[in-house]
Amino acid sequence: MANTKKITEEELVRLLKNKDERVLNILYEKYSLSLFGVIHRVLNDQELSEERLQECFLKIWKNADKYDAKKGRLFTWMLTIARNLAIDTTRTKRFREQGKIQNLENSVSIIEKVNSVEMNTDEIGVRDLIKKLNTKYAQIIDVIYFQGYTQSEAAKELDLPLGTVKTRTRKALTLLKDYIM
Amino acid sequence: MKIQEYIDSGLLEMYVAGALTEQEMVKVTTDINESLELKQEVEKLENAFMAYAKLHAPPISAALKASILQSGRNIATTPTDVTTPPTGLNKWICGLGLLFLVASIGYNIYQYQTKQSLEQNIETVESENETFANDLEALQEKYNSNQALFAEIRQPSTKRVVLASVGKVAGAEAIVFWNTDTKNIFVDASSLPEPPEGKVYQLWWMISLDPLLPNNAGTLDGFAADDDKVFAALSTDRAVAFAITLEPEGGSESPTLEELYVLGQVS
Repeated sequence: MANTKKITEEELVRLLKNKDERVLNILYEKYSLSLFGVIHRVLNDQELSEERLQECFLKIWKNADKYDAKKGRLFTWMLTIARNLAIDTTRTKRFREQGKIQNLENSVSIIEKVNSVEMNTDEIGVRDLIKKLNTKYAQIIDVIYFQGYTQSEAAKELDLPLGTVKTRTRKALTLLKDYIM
Repeated sequence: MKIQEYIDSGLLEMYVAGALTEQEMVKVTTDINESLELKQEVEKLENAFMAYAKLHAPPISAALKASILQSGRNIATTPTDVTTPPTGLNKWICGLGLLFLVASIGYNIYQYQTKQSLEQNIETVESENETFANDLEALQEKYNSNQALFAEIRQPSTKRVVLASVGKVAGAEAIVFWNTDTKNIFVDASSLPEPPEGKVYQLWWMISLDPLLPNNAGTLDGFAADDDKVFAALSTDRAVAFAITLEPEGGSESPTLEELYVLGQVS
């Protein structure tokens, strides 16, 4: 596992495009928890999230040809796949019947999420981090990264100038870097 | 735009999230590829978000990874091109198809035979039904005539005349029911022996015994075949006695007295 960290993104993409069977293992080790975190953040359901994560990796594997490095990072491409699968699931009957629908127009703030008993993630870690992050920074990450809003959609949604959305996201990520890295 | 300004703009954060338009994404990729500093910044941002996202992830079932890797291998080995020349798998599919065809034909033959046999059964049942219907009709007729006879017999105006043996056949007996209102006559000949071949019983009614004035009341046709041996005779409104003689087939104009079997007077 130690050597997976040394592999460059370019090498990873080349292996993926060549359908090298080793790449699925590397991708899983490197990205599965983050992608699962995104899916689970949206669905808040272990079983459904695991199903979507499996689907996500199969999609990555099957559609490797479609990944275009010119249009973004490999992680960004995978993040989009994971997010779309999760958000599509919130629109299914099964999900709505479970009463877990999240209204994206009033996206649930991560603060509410932290205070909710439903949160079964690394609670202490997240809670401590959220306390350090100002609500507005947690919210902007939520909207841009977890919910997949474009910057213009986020500006409209949060009723903020586009410039503010960008600088606030910048500040939020800088804080994250400081706290986590 | 200077590198630091670029970094401070917040565009790279949007780029990592995929929150830009396609053109913007392509533009940023180009910029990143031209600057190691930008590239390193993007990697830092990516790592920061990945670490943050991981905090939201509960433990994943241990079996999921193996399942994903297995599915990946299955996809890699499954030919998806429809123009692929026949493979072992295709031969198997052809073989299976043939097997299903044979099974299908066999099943059809079986179904056809079953159908034929069922049709035969239906024919048998239909013919049986017809027989039953005929039997029922005969019974109904019999019942109706018996009901009519019974109704006639129980009338107060019906006289019961017992015709006793006159010595020709010992113990021979017949009973005449004569309704003096309707004039109808029935004769119960069940105690007479069967007439010999070519002979028939004939009933007579007499308006006078002295002088003997007999009148033909009809022959008891089909005696042997008749179950209850009750016969309807020609009607009369006046009679003092009834008699039965054995006559040649077809009956006689006047009774053959030597063959007089039974005789009874109306009381």
